[in-house]
Amino acid sequence: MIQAQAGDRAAAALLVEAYWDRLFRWLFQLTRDRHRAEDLTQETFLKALAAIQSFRVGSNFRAWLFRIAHNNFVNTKRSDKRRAMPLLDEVPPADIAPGPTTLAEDRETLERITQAIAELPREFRTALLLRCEEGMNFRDMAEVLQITEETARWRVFKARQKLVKVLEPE
Amino acid sequence: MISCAAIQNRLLALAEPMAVPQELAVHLTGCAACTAVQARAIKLDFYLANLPAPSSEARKLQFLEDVSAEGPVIRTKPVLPSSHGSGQFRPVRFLQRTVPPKAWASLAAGVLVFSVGVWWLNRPVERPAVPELAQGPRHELLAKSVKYHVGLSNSRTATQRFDIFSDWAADVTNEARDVYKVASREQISKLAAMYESTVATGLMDQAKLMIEDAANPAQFAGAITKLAETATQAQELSQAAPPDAQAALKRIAASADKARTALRTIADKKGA
Repeated sequence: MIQAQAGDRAAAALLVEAYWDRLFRWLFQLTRDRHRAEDLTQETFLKALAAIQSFRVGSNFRAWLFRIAHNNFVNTKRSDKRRAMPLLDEVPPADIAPGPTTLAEDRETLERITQAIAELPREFRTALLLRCEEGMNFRDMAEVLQITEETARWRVFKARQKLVKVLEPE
Repeated sequence: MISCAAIQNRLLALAEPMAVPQELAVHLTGCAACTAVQARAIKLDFYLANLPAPSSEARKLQFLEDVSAEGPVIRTKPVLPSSHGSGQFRPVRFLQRTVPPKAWASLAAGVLVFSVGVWWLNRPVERPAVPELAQGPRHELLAKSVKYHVGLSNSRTATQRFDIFSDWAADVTNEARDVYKVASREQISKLAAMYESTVATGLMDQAKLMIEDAANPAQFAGAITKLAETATQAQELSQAAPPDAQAALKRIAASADKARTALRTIADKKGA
């Protein structure tokens, strides 16, 4: 980090390499648009590298980076109408280990969950994916989303409350 | 007596529905409905962690190439697609509509005259070369810090993150011990700040989360020992250290001792 702050391109590249996939994945789940998620990921890194001097060494780089990404996402969202969600066929099948359920059932469940996530309010979706996909704790989520830890917990709770219904036996 | 609805709400608000606190665990052993909700919450988290996403490898490689290329890291400002059709910046379109063509010509002439004036005042003289960006050898602590950041990104539990912060703090201490005789006051002070931050806002926060998630306080034993060693060593080193390093080493010792005491208190309270 210190070398990246000193302008070392190799150190900056290490940071990009370490965080690109995770950031893109989160932004893709938020936008459901590969190209838009790639644009947002790239813009986030450009902004982060440009402002890297302001990052406090020893604090949480991931939370700082995701906060920039979230601000970008919210800003572009403001000037953009909701986009259509691609069909699940447009993305590769999930890497889910075979369990007691069949692959077809997994796929069908995933499809229903993906649809349900898309219908969640943006704030809930953002928080839930940070928690469950990124494994972020509530404190870091609060930093990323610029809310309190309690609000972060509440958003995850509300999102889970809606989504577990998808898994209820019919 | 807590109702099932309240228990289920608490389950859904946990960081990890699998790691339930003791009072919920007691209820779950005898309640099929709440156990089913917990199972669904665990299954949901599993699916969410495995949502399908396309690859962005090509774009990443292109970006890495750009970052590694000669020249400033930020070369061009990215342009996101406009939602207004033409892609033209809105203020420009507004000016085109409202300012008459003759005014544009006058403005252009004015700009030309001004530019010539500016050029005359700043005509070519000897200028210092733009300094190259730093390209020193890679630092071991930097490589480890990146590794720990990646580790934190990949970790799923507070316990994993606690272990990472514990190792990270130990590495910062080692670095301080290696360089304290030759480091400047500013350098050793930065290391002390890094140690304080890693312990106070990293290690301790994860410890609190572990307790929230009903972790066994015995898991703190290793970290408590390391912190005690750090406190003693840093305090001893500060006695014979150069004046520039004494304050920073004392800060490290104090920070380690404070964290050790806090962890011990948490562990004792939880154990009791």
